[in-house]
Amino acid sequence: MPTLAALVLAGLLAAAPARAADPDAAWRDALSSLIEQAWQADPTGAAAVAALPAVPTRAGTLHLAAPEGPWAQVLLADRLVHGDDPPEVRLATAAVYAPRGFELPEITAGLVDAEADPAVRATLLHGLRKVDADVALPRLRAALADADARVRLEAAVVAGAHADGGALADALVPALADTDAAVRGRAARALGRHAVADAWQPLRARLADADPTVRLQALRALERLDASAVAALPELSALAADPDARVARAAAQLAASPR
Amino acid sequence: MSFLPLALLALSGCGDEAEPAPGTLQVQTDLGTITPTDTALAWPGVITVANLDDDDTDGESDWEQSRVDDGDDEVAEFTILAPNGVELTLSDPDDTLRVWFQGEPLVDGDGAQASFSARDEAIVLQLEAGGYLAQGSLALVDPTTGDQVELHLVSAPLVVNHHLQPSEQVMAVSFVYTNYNNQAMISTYEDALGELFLEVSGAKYQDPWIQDEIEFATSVSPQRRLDTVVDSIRDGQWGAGEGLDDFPEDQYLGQGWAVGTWGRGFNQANSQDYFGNLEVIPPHSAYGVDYPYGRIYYGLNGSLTPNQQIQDFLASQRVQAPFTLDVSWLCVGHVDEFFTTVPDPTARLGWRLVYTDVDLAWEILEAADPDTVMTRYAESSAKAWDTIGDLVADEAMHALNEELKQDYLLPNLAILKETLELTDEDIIYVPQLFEEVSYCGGTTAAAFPGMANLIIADKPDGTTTLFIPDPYVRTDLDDVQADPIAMAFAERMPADLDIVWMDDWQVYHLNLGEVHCGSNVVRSPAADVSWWEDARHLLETE
Repeated sequence: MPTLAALVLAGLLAAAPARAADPDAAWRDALSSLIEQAWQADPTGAAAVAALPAVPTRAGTLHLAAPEGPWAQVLLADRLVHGDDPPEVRLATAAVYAPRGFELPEITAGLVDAEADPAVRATLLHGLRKVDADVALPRLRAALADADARVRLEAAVVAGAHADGGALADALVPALADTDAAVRGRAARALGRHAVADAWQPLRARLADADPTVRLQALRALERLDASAVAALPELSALAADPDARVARAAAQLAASPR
Repeated sequence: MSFLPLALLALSGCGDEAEPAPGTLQVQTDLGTITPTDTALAWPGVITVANLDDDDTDGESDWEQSRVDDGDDEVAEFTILAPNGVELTLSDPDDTLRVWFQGEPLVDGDGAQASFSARDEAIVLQLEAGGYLAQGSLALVDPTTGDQVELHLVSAPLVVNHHLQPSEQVMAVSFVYTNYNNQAMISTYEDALGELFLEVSGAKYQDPWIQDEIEFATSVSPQRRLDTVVDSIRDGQWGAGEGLDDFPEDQYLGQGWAVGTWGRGFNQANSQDYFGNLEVIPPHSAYGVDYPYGRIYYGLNGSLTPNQQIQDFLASQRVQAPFTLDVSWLCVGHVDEFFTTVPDPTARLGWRLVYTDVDLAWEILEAADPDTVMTRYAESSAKAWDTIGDLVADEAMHALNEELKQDYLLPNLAILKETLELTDEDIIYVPQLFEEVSYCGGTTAAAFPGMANLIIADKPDGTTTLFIPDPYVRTDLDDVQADPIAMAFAERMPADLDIVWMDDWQVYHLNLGEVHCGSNVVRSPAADVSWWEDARHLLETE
């Protein structure tokens, strides 16, 4: 169900078609208007979000105590754009904004476009997971070619989770050769999830990757593309003796499966 | 120091062994008499617990203080009768044993020797150990007859507690800040446990993850009990003196309590060093081998593992032979995120494995009313679903959880079944889903509060209570009976366990942890501990 802020945002953007030529100005204008309305509607709540403390997660990162209420996303975006938090708190703010980034798609896209900090940009990409393809996919494609491996990694993760992520195959296949093993692994996983048939050969090549997680993800992806064909691959016998137990187990299971 | 008359010593021996001939070299231990011709009790010999507590509370372990005080009770007394005198030689290759006589070290260090001339009175000695499962021997030779006794000296191993041991204290850190508090969980603990619950000051320690900082363990000799806080190198997550780093020293170090750390220090710590990633399977047998104190397990995340020192130390204790699982798929990466064990008197083993099952979760959710608003999720900026239908319709969640099942949940379950020789009868499957965590490399955490991440209190009245994270997969937050996931979990639990649902949403779940992560339990040793007998096969196996 759309939140109040989402409805207002749609209205704001529809009422300002002249700004469409300048998308950056459009989302910034819309956000400013939403922020104003949020503070008018609930100044106490807005002040609380602005002052939310960052607390340590169990993973060692910081997390913003999750805000609630109809204007939460707007106020988090406000804090990201206009706040003076240190980088680790901005990262925590992005992390709590992202799960519902789909509620304010144009603003989420604008935040991604404008963000200079690679860690925050990588985190904000998760806000695109449920955003329509015309808005989300160009950002994800650009992110898969980002100079920062953290951004490329999260882009591959989100590409795998986005309903239309298969359309990013042209950017995901090159990512199979990324210098960062985590990116290669997540790219393989995304291609498998979207069953991108054209990725068969590049994925097969990753069965010899130096990183065991990449080998595992490539094997799983190939299984999703064609389980019977992967069971017949000559590489499978070597993989069944892989030093990584996960790879060996998956390969043995595939080899034993009926073709 | 008093000396026991010879006649009394002879009467105090255990069992039906023949009374030694007069004039024979004898050793009297807690377990009985040893002579040159009756060496049945030469192993285990003299048993003590490590003298690593701090009886005088000066901040220094008693072992380091080079004296045995009146109040220093972590020593084992044993007596020698040497009518012809006796020559003693200590074998102590690890330099972790001392033998005391009349308040002074008698033999200290490998190869150290001492002798006593012929005497009628008993020679009363004390064994002190500076480590867990410290082992050596004391060679006794009668200088007249040449008779010999090779007496084993040993300290109790450190035994990490498991879920079947009686609970003495349950603890959690209390937070009372505006917009950030766990008072619902603290109050629930207080109501259910009364004086058994310790509320730790969040204002002082600023760190909710008390499971990760410390692990409780016990060591037992025939006469003594030593409790140990295994203090992780997590160091409050931020460095020495931060968070809960000083909590074990503040709260526990003292008489009968030791605090020990194995590892290289905070800067070298990773999440696998935290003790949510260190748990114990309760007692069982597998492939004909008894594990009367259970088995330790922890998770590995590729090259990220618990530091080698603690791995080596835990393995060196022998009686809980550690094994490992794959936690590389979890953002935090702890074994307590996807399974646990619960007592069950009706079970073959006396306990059952509680293991997460993503298919079961989907089955329950797909049978529920899709229009059910999940209030907690809908109101939170940190969750992407408003209704059960939103979650069920999330294809990426289906794909993710299927992958996790195939690549990690089933393989880890296979390891558990194979290692512990479990069958499906020994396992309770419970519903759980996982979601990808932003900026965590595509790794995951519980999508709704992870119910296997629970606390078990085995209370003095004999009842057992499970404190379980409330999943809140429902509209009315006060009506857990309307929650299909919670009810599916509850109906699968053993019938005689009390269930208490905990609100861990804000302080724990949204920060990638749950009830177990934010709690800890001091437990009594299991009843009738005699590791020198029932775990001897594990101690002797190389």
